[in-house]
Amino acid sequence: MRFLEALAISLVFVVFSVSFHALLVYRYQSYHVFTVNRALAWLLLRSDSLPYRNNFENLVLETIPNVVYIRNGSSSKYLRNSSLVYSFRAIWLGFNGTISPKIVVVGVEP
Amino acid sequence: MSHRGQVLLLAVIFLAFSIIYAANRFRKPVPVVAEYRGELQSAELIHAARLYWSNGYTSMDSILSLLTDLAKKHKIYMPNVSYENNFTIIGGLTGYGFYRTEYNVSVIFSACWNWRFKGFYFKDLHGEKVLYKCFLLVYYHNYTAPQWGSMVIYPIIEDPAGICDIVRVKDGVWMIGYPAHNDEYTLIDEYGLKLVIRE
Repeated sequence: MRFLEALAISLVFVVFSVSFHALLVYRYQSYHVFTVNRALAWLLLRSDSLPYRNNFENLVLETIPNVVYIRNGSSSKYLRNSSLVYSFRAIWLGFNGTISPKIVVVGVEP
Repeated sequence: MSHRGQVLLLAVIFLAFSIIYAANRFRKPVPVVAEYRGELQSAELIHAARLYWSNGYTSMDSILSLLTDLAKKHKIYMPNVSYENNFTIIGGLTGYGFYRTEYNVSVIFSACWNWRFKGFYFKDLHGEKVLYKCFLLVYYHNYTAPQWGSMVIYPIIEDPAGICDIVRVKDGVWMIGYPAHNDEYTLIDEYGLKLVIRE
């Protein structure tokens, strides 16, 4: 009988642990996903030539909050340290009729 | 099962569900999305269309294929799209023209302009008086996508030849003057799209 009690209590404990763990671990994407994607879309619509200009980093910093790093093609700039960074990417295909693709990666702390 | 054991089991069940309920209730609510697909994808398609119309020699299929390949390589979601391109120009003293790309995902790029003849004037060029024609030009881009509806922007226009008079009246409205012997004149906007004024 004591064995059945122990088994039932263990079962309840396992169900509880799994549920609680799932509740803590599985978190959905937060608002920063929307914010950063919208900001990158705005920059992309605003100009075809932004990543090819010198003031691109300043515009990114003005538009996107909590930026940790910016990678523009092959050049990277780290602005601060962070233990949790989400990367967002956008593609600039070229400007003024010239095809010259550049990948922009913005690391953001949520 | 003993009486004490049953009470203990019930207590454990009650405690477990209380903690789960409390944790769920006090958790900060956040929007639920599995994978974000939104403004950036529509903006990439509009950027591709704008580049196609300013480029003039690369096909839309090639530009979209380049975009899709780069997106796949860098793990950016891009929808598979089909599109329809349309370029129209109707000449005259009053006329209009447009570039338009419509994707099957309700994303539309269009660049529209229209002009109206306003009269003649003389311009002094290096001591020589040259007869110029004056037009009122309206020019804008319209970017439509399900995420933001319709967005109108007014790009800056320039004259590659440098002989045209361009005066900005207000957003999207310009006074244009160019030598009267031209039946057609081409300007470009800040994205490299060509605006043709054709009589």
